[in-house]
This record gives sequence, C-alpha cells and structure tokens, in this order.
Amino acid sequence: MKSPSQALAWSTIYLSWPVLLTQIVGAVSIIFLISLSLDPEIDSTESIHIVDFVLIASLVFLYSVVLSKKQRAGNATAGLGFPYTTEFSLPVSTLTLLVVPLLCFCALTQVAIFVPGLIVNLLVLDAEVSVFPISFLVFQYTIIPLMLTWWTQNGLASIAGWLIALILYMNGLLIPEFTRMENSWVLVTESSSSYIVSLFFTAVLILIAYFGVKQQRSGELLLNFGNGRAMLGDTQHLRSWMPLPTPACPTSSAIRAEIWKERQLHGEYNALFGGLAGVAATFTILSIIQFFVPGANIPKFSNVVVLAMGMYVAVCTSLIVTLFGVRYKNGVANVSVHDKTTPLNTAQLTLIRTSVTLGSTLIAGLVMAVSIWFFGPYFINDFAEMRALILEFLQTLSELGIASVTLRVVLILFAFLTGLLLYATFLTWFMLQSKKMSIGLLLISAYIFLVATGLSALFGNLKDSYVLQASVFQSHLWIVIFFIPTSIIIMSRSLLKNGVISAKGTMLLAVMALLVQVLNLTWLFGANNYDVLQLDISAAHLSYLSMQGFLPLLAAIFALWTSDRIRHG
Amino acid sequence: MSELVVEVNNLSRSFGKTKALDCVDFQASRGKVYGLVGANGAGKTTLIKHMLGLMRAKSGTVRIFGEDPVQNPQGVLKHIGYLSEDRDIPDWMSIDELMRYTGAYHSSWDQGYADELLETFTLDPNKKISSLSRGMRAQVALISAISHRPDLLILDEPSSGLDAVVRKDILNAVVRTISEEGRTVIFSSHLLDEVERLSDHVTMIHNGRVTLDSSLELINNSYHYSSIRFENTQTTAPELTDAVIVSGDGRFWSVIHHGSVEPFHDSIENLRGEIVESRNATLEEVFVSRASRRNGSHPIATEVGK
Repeated sequence: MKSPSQALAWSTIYLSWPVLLTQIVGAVSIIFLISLSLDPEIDSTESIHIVDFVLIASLVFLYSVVLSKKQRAGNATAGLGFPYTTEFSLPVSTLTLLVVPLLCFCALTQVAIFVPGLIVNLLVLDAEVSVFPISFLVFQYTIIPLMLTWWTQNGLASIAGWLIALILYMNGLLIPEFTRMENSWVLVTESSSSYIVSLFFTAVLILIAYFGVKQQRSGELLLNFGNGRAMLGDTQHLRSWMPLPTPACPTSSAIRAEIWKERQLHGEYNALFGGLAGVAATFTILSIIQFFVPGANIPKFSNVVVLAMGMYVAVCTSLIVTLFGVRYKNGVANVSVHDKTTPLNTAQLTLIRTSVTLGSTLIAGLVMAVSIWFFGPYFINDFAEMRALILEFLQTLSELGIASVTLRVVLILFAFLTGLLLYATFLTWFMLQSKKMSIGLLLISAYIFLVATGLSALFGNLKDSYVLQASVFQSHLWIVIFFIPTSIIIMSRSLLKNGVISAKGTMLLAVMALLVQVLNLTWLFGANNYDVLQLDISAAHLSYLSMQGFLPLLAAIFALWTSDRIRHG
Repeated sequence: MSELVVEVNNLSRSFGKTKALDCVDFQASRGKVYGLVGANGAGKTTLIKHMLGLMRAKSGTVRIFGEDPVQNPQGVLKHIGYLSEDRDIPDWMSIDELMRYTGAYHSSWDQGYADELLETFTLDPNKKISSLSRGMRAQVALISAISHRPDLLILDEPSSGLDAVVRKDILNAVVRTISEEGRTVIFSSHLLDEVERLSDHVTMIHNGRVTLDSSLELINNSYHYSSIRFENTQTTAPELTDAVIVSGDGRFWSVIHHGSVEPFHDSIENLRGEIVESRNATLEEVFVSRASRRNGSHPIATEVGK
C-alpha cells in the first residue's frame, strides 16, 4: 500500500467482502427459492417486485452489518457520528478520511445490487434493465443515509437532519422522480435536470458532513445542543432510562429472585413501553404520510394492519433479542459472566427467561391492539369499516363452536410463540457470530445457488421448467421433514448427556409435544381443513404439515441446547 | 464433601491451533490460599473458567467438591464466590438490589457482614451500579462474592481496579479470614509480590502448562539466587549444577538455582569462580526463570498432600 488512501480503502474492503459475498449468494438463493415455490403463471410484475424487495432487504442487511462491524472496529461506544475514529490520529486530511470510505461504500452497494440482480435476471426474469438510473438510485440511497449518520454525534441534531432530509425527499429534491416501465427494470425520469438537483443537495450534505467530521476530529460537536451522543452500540435497559417503581427483590428463594430479575429486564414495563412505542410509531408514520402526501389513500384498513404488524414484529424483536442474555457491551456481543454463574440449573434459567420474555411479547401485542382499537378513529380514515370487519370476523368465529375456536386459538398461540422462540434463538447465534452457523448458512446458500445455476444451464430459463421446479421443491421439502425429528433427537441426546434435562424432564417434554401434535393433527384432518387443503395434496406437503406439530418441541430443545452452549462453551 | 475442594486432572483445551491448557493437573484442599501466576494469555483464566463450569472439559476432568461443574452448575456454584476479572455485575441494579439478589441464591448469606463491608468501603446501598467508578465497582463485586462466606472463593486478578489501601489491607484481611475459617481461596494475579504475600501455594502456568506447582515455603527454601565472579572471562554460559537460568557475560554471572547448594558451590569452584552474593530467590525471579526456560521445562516435585 503506497498511500494512506489505499490503506483506508483496503481496511474498508477487508471488513466488507465476506458480508458482500454472503449477501450476493444469499440474495440469489432466496430469489431462487421463491421462484421455486411460485406458480410460473404468476404475473411477472409481481415476480419483479419480489426481486426488488429481496435485493433491497439484502442491501439493508449488508449496509447494517458492514457499518456496525466498522463501528466496532473503530469507535465502540458511539452509535452516531463518524465511525472511523481510530483513524483520526492518522496523518491524512479529513477530506481523505471522509471520501475514501464513502467511495468504497458506494462501490460496494453498486456491486451488491448489480451482481445478484444481473444473475437473477439472467436465470429467472430476463427483463430489460436501465443501468444508469438504478446505479444513480443506489448511489443516492447509499450516500445520503451515511452523511446523515456521520455528520454529528448529537442525537437531537441527527433527528433534525433526518427530518429535513425527509422533507427534501418528499419534494423529489434528493431522489429524482422515476416512472417505471411495466415488467421491467427500465426507469425513466421526465427531466434530466432532476439528476443535477439531486446531486446538488448531495454535495451540500457531503460538505456539512465534512465540517461535522472535522469538528469530531478535534473532539467538538458541530451543533452543541441537546443530549450529546446516543449510545446505540450498547444494549440499553429501560430502567437505566427512567426511574420506574419496582418491587424489592425477593430473598426467599433463588427462583423468585431470578424471576424478579427477568421481569426487570424483559417484563411488563418493557411490554408496556414496547407496545406503546409500536402504536406511536404506527400512528406517526400514518400522520407523516398524510401530511406529506395528502392525496394518498394509505391509511386504509389493510395498510394499517400491515404497518401495525410490521411494528409489532419490531417490538417483539426488541423484546426477544436479549432472551438468552446476549448483550452488546462496548459494541461487542457477549453474555455476562454474572449471568453464566447464576447458581440455577440451565433448564430453570431458560424456562424463566423464555416464559417472562414470551409473555411480554403477548402483553405488548395486547397493548398495541387495545390502543389501536381506542385511538384508531383519530388516525385511520375507514376505522369504522375496520371495526365492522373485525366484529364480523369474531362473529364468524363464534359460529364455529367453543371447542373449534379454542383449538384454533391454542394452535395459533403455539405457532406464534414457537416462531418467536426460533427467531430469538437464531438471532442469538447471529449476534454471537457463530462460525459454524455462518459456514452452514453459506454452504446452504451456495448449494441453492449451484442448483439454480445448474437448472438454468439445462433449461435456459427457469420459468420453462415448472414441472422440474415442483419436483426439486418437493424433494427438498423431504429434507426439512426429516430434519425436524433428527435435530430433536440429536440435541435431546446432547442435553441428556450434559445433564441439562433429566429423564423425567425429557418425558414431560415428550408428553407436551405429543399433546401439541394431537391438536395439530386434529386441526389438519378436521372436517373443514383437510378438504380445504385438497385431497390431491402431495405426500411431501402433507408430511410437512403433519410434522410441524413437533416444531414447538424443536424450538424448546433448541433453546435449551443454545443456553447450554452459551453457558458452558 | 471431599477434602480436596478442586481436582483438575489432565485438562487440555485448544482454541484453534493455540493450546490454552495442555495436560494441566491442579488440586486445592481446604483452608489454603492458592495463587495462580502466569503471563497474560498463559491460561489462568481458562483454567478458572473450567472450574466454574463456564467451559466444558473437552479432555481431562474437572471436579469441584467432587462434582462436575458443567453437569451440576447449581450444586457447585452455590458454594463458590467468584470475582471476575472485568467485575461483571448487572449495572442496572442498585447496590442493595444486587445484595438482595445474590443473597437469594445463598442460604449462608450474611447480611451483617455485607453491611459491615459496605460501611468499610463507604458505599451507598441506594446507588446504581452503573454510576460507580471502576474501583467502587470492584469493591461491590468483592462484597457480593464473599458475603455468603463461600466454601471456595475464586478471585480473577482481584487487585485490578482496587486502590493501594484496599488492595493491601482489606483484600489481605478478606483472603486471610476466609482461609482461617477453613475455606479455600484461589486467586490469579500477575502481581507476584501480592501472590507471595497472600498465598500458601503457588501454581505457575506458562503457555498452558503448569511449570511450577508447590507450596510457597518449599519454593522459598529450594530456589536461590547467586551472583558469581569468575577468574577468567566465560565466553559461553557456564554449566553449573542445578542451575535453572544463567545470565550475564564476561566474568560476572547471575544464577537462579534450586535444590541443595553444595553441588552448586562445587561446580563454581571447579570453574574458578566465587560467590559474591547469595540469597533465597524472590517469586518474581523464580517466575522469570521458569518462564524463560524452553518448553521442555518440568514442574519441580510438588508437596505431598498439599
């Protein structure tokens, strides 16, 4: 490396390329999996929109991982502001310090969009693409958030900056307004001068960011007001923020003390604040949309449901993310030794943590539902219609009879909690940056990628090989069907061997699992359901639906196994 | 309970290609203070983590009070007080909450003792742990580790973060009291004067291997330092009986040697040298000499019965 710029670029690329590779292979694999499960007759516009979504989601993944990784390598404590603080002491100008990583990120996101996009287009869609407008969009969407994040460490100033940028964006000043040609990636803008306007505002943002970074380099804030920096790098506790009344820690038993601790960390206060924050975010977004786009018909029942559900998923994520005690400290995920050395056995600890946290997600959901029910009329245009629809739905349910309704409610509850527990467990391994899990995911993605490439080499375009796609999908579904019991057996044996669960505990789990499975089969083969699922349903599909009754057991065993691994290495 | 509080046999652990522990044997019995010494990365904390069950023994066995700490964490941990190197305590709790919380796990919790220590350290029980300085945090962590009067107290670098007064007076008093009450203390430290002051027994770990495992008394009596002047210039290190490490050049050489002094003196006379200074070696000199030796070094005879 002959110059500081090269060294800076090298360090950015060095930290980014594994994530970039994962993102490209992952995006292509996911799109291929979706194309396998979709009907080939599906509207190609819809296919293109799905691809759009996957590419944008994977870009967000790349963006967040690379940025957070760099921040950990750089300044571990600052969530806002310029992350390359360790490079402040290097003998380079602030302009170089700002521009080199910026250009690297811009190049990175271009590769991250175009490489998987072109592969997918070649294999699946075969649509027209206009390269320059898309490239410009990616450039703007990369550079604007970076500048808005880097220019200040001040939380309030940062929020103000984002709001101003939102107003500019809504008025088409940051991103040109494009018209999209149907069934393609061809984007047309009415006037080429809109590129110049966008670039002008981007240049202003870069200039502000330059002065902001210059100030940060000398330990000052560009705007000296508000609360200073937000410590986004570390996991925060609600109790650290506000003095909430809490009962004294019980000293009569270890289990009661542990429940008290978990309630402080993941309990009812978190559920209440999480639920209210979810509702507030839903209504705020609705209000912003109505304010900036008065003609938009967005606050409709279906849109509100989608938005509220999205917010609820975010709330649930924030509640379950620390279920296994993994927290970010100085920007690094770890489990405290204090937690690990708690004198309770692993099964008790896991049961207490899981019960309290999952209970909180249900309370948060209830808080959101009740709040929307009461405050909805102030924010949602057709709220009366929405209420009528819900009441109608409840009426239909009541006609099914108590036993049938109870069965459905119990199954939905089990399915929801199982999904959350599996999500929390995978999230934990992701946070801990498990090497084995990363390698496993990469191998699976690479396998799917190779199958996609192989099939496209045979048929030219995957849409022409629907019969083969269906058989590929079903044969791979068998892998999932056998994976569920096999993984249960392997992990259970490990738990028994390590003394995490006793023979009696295993029996109890098995009985509960059988009970859930009986409920699942009752629902599946019930008079109104099997017919709905069609009698000509494939053996693989039917086997999977039967086997899903064991998913709650898999989630429980996986959670125990994860706790054991985290605690004892 | 067994008379041996800790029994580690043939324990090995690797992280990738690095051997953190290599066939380590370690035993600790009741009423004694054990000092674990070693350079950074020698394997002290890895050994402690195995004792606490925070790492599963991949090869070899670990028994604490006769139990496997991984199989029965609850049974083992309630008899242990542990002060971690990074003073890892929940910072969202107040000091009082931490005391109540820790007390709930230990039927032997002595609130009077905890209050007395809080007063000694002038700590306000209502203060949030997150608002404490590093030193105060270390004090709180120490109180929560010892107030249930554990049968085994494990202190990982206990001096880190404690000021000189606390380190010298209070820590000494705590460690001594616990061992005099018939309980066991194991502490790791890189401060060799502290280990020398507090320990009954010293275990040195170097590159994952135990290079010395003996009572402090035996070490003091068997390791010597001698400064030697030779009549003629020595172009290479002189070969002296029982020398552990020889350093110097020309006519003046320093030697750490162990065992009986007569054969050593004879070997000096044979090379026409004379002893300028001779004394018992300090623990630091013993540590440096053992650590400097190549990996072929072997532990000296350990005290029987320990």
